[in-house]
Amino acid sequence: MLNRSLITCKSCNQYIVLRVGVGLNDEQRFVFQCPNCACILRGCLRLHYQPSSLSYESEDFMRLDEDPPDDASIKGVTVYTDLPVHRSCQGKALGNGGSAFLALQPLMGDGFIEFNQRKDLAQHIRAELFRPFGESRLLLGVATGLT
Amino acid sequence: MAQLRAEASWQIVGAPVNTGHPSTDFARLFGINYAPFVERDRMHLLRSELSQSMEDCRTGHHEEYKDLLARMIQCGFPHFRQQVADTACSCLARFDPLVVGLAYEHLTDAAKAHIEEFQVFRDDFDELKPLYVDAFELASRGLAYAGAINNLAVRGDSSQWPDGKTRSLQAVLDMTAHQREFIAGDLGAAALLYAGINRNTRNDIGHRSVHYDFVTGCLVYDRWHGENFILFLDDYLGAVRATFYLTWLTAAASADTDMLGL
Repeated sequence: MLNRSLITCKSCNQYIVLRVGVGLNDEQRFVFQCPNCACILRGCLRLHYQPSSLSYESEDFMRLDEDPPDDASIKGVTVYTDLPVHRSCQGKALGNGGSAFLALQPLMGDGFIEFNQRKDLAQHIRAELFRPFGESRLLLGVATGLT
Repeated sequence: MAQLRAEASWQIVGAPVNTGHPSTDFARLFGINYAPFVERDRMHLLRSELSQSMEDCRTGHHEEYKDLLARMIQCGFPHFRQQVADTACSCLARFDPLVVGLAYEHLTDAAKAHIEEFQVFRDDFDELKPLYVDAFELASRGLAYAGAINNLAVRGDSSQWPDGKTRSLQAVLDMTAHQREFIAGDLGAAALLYAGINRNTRNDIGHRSVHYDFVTGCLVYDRWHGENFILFLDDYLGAVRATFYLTWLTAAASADTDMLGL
């Protein structure tokens, strides 16, 4: 899933369409360059499950409440924390090849299906096994003879 | 997906040699967490080889093996075990960087040759670096413990190392990570695992001031631009894979320590 937000860079006050690939972790700290002034901007995407929502934190940019306009003059940035992003999809809208995930398909060839399965399995295991284990630390410690 | 889920569930039932002890049973269950990152056959081979070495020690060199396990305890194995559990859990708790490494491994060779065309937008290198260093150091120390067991199983003497020299376990633990690398070549399937830890990342990353330069996409060692961040994440994946092996090593050795009444 790609989350699309309208933000302003606190350095140059210009609008940016920020597209963030919502990844696997509850907290995704990211860094990118302002496409207008080239300033380095940092932020954090937090996922909330009850109720389901997401929020951004940043000292470098401000997220606006309004939806990004369909205005091609506003520069965009595509950010993923759990995938390598090929330059060819940078700044593009989702419908115009802006998905880093789909861009990987021709770059992986036959390996794409296996990668996708393993990525899904990782997400599945994290949600259904690792978390219920209570981050397994104590149990693993006890089971390997720590105590 | 169904096949991979089957692989994950296989981890519980695909039992190699030393089973039936809570340590190894739990380690096998915990191993499910590694299913997306370590291939099933490789997992089985890593466990089987280590378990077989321990079985050979138990049956062929019973008293020497008891003595070796006692020395391992004297040489800090309980603390090592604790660190392995802690590091493995810390790495798996934040596994999304592992997906980047996995993505890199699945790229075609042609795409890998142009790694500079990719960017990673993560801003957590400062948190990943100590985890990588911890996993790397533990993997290196694990060579000493696993190597000593292998020495006893293969050569009948835990202090006879594959380079033909005689060293105590403590002497090997006192060596640098680089000096211990020769042991990996004698550990069968684990050798490949160890080869994946620092293909791109410098051994001394833990002792240097390193930061991620987002503009170039590279790690900067002091003032020198090092490898691409994605290559570091590939090595990070390799280091986390090594914790799978270490988890099994510590669990199986704990089971034997318990069963031999130490």
